[in-house]
Amino acid sequence: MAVLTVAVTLFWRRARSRLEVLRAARPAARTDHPGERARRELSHVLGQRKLFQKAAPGVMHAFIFWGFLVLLPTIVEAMLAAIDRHWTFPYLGHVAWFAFLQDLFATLVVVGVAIAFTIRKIQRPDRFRGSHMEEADRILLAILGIVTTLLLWNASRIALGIAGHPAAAPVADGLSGLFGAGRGTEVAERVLVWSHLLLVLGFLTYLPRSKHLHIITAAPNVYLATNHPRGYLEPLRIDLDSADADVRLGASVATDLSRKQVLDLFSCTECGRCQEVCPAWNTGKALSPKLLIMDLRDQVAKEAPLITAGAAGIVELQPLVPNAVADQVVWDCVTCGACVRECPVDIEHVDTIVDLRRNLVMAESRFPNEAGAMLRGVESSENPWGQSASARTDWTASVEDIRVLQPGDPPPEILFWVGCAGAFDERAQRTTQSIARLLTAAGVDYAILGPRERCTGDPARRMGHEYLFQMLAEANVEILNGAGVTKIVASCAHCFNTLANEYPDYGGAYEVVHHTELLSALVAEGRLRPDPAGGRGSVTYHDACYLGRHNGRYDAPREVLRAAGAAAVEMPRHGERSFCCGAGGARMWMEETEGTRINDTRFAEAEATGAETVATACPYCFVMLDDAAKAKGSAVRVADVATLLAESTLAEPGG
Amino acid sequence: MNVVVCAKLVPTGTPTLGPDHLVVRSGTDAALDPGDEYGLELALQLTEQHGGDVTVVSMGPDEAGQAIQRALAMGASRGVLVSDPSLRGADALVTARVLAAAIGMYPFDLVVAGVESTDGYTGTVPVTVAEILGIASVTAVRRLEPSDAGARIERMTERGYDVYECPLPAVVTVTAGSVEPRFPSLKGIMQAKQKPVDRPSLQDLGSRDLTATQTVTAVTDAPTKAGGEVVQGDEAVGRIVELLAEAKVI
Repeated sequence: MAVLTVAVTLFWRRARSRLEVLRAARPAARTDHPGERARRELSHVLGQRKLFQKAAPGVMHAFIFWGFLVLLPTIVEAMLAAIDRHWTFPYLGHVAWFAFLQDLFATLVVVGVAIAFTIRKIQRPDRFRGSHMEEADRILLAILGIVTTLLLWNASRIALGIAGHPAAAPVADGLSGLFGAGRGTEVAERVLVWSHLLLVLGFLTYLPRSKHLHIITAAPNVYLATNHPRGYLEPLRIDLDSADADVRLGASVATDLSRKQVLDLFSCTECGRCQEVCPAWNTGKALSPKLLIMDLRDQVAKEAPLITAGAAGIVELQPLVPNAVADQVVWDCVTCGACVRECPVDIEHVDTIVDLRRNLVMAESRFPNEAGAMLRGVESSENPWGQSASARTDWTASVEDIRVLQPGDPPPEILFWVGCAGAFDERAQRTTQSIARLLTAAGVDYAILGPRERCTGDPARRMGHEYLFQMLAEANVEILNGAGVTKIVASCAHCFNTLANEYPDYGGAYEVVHHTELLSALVAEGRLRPDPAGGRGSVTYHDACYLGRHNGRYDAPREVLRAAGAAAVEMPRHGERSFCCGAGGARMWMEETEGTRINDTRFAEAEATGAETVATACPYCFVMLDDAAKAKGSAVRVADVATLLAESTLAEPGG
Repeated sequence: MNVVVCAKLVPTGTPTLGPDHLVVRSGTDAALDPGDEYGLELALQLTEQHGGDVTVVSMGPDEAGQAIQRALAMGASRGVLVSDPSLRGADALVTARVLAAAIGMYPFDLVVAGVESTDGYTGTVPVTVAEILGIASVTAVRRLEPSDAGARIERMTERGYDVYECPLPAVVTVTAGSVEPRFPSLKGIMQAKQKPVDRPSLQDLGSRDLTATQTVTAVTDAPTKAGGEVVQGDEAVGRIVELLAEAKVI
């Protein structure tokens, strides 16, 4: 009893400091749609769905996790038996099926631990670089100790004839041969049950300060994960007229983090799945999503006493950047969301990185110099290229019959949101022209906003300038609503994501489709009749992060390519696991000096498929991969899906 | 070192001319002249390193307050806006008289301006201000450091740069690209609202001779350039060589 009290008290004292840090954090409004959240608990936690994204580690974890769920009552059973060897649960303690489950799952845990050690000691994947390996070993050994003592304890009870159903527990039964029936076994039984209990309780006290705390934090963290598509960022409303103290400009110090963000930190087990897929880390940059979370966690843990005291008085917390995380790390991120997708416990790395950027940009004005040109352009000319609004229709010069929606005009069935890249970038203009020609050929009633279109604000927002984004979002929504627009087709994956997922927060609710979706539908309806014999050769499609992983659009671009007569080959990393082109998260406007270039890496992967053409569906991807192709002097062509369809469909594709 | 920076609000889009042939300055998109941001940045760096304050002086319509707000957001500590309907259409000389009078109301060791405005491009106002104030001026400055004599100044030339020792106070114009102007933080924008902006009247300035010395009587579009010659095919290289020779480039 005393042991139990000591252990629980120690656990509580240590856990409380974590709990108070959470309580001091900004509330996170993440309790809507409880049904969806509960379903996620079932699939991600109970079902271990995201763990199984990697086969062997998934099996390893599921064995241990399910094992512990089944063995939880065993702890109480052991406590009862510790007091009196004949005490047990009234019902559970006597049924054969429970004895069987105990035996089976204890064994599975042993197997799980064996797999874990095989992975860690023999396979040694790079994703563990930077993780606390010794701590992991300690935890695994503790788990092994807990289940081995359990199995041996059960075996000794079988030997003593206390256990009811030896046949139902074949492993323990087998082990019971180790024990005689005499006084020695009676002592061993006592020693084993106490060893088991002491290990369990010792583990309990060890938990709160270790990375293994995830066994408590993971479930709530999964529950609090966002219900939005992954490309969505939570708005940070900024009212410049309110009092200074009320304006939060992103995350500067630990207390600026939301409860979900802090829980993220306490949920990380350093498994490194995020690091393994990160485009920045994979090309030799400083950023690893795992190390970022660990470093933030360590600072929050270090400042825990200050944070909890802060509720009462004023404390000096150190800025998270550069104390926990270097500036460069924050700017390395392409916001591709691969880390978030991989994370078994739904840590939202990207949201935290953007929150750190918000503070650097809006409060400190501290960011890579070269990105200033983009911000200035968006601020003064309302596009990242700093071009004049009147140049937005320059691309229409070579395309006939483009309707520019004038104030007061009746709204078109579909508004074609050209985007700044599509309007100003010479290469992206070709895509825009292809789309326009295809829509005209299909007889779609569409129009463009022309000079009244502004940047959606995506690059500013991903860069951290939430205020600039907010102004642009409000201005665009006013124009779109004023024009009576209900349906939008966007050719840029970033515009698509912002219009579809983020503008509803600013009063703009539209049906937004990507051009590949619209083109795919037009082909299916027979309104566009590509000549499949046109032969586009072998094509590999590069999934844009903001179309694919962030919004689940994988099929439409591939359908269009098939219709265009392309023989599709897939890159090793495609679909949900596509590898970024390197331009997301406003990286388009930043220099890439460390390590190898992300676009070169991706292009090499595309080239290795042997495809003659790399198809893209986003102007950023197009420009990045085309740059890589040119830098390499490769014969592989980079083209947008729409351009390839236009070539198969139209007599004069132009562009 | 106290620095006064001259700032101008200029149209951001294509400027339109009113019936009086003057640029329409009200109700159009406008911003602090990007050329002025270099001077401002240099001034801010100087005061950050050597102490002192930056005061921003502008002449223009009420909207010119935006340019001053921008400068305050970047880090200037005080704004001065001279705005009077009678100044509409002021030419370079009148502008220089007004600015000189306004600058004279504040203590300064240095006056900084852009090389020229990006709407009018006269490039004469800063040196005229220096003349009126009776102090030295150096144009096309790329670097400035305080020295025993006053300031050590690097002045851009076609070949490189000259180094000057110049007594202070002086007027300098700063070349575009010599420093990287900072992007104001939102915190800076919010703090700018609390900073003082003086609005002296023409009487306060005690200026005389404020009648424009020039009037615009007519504006004619520049003739559009004739399309160039397109050379194609096998003879292209030879033809290009010929053309370059004609142009005395080679």
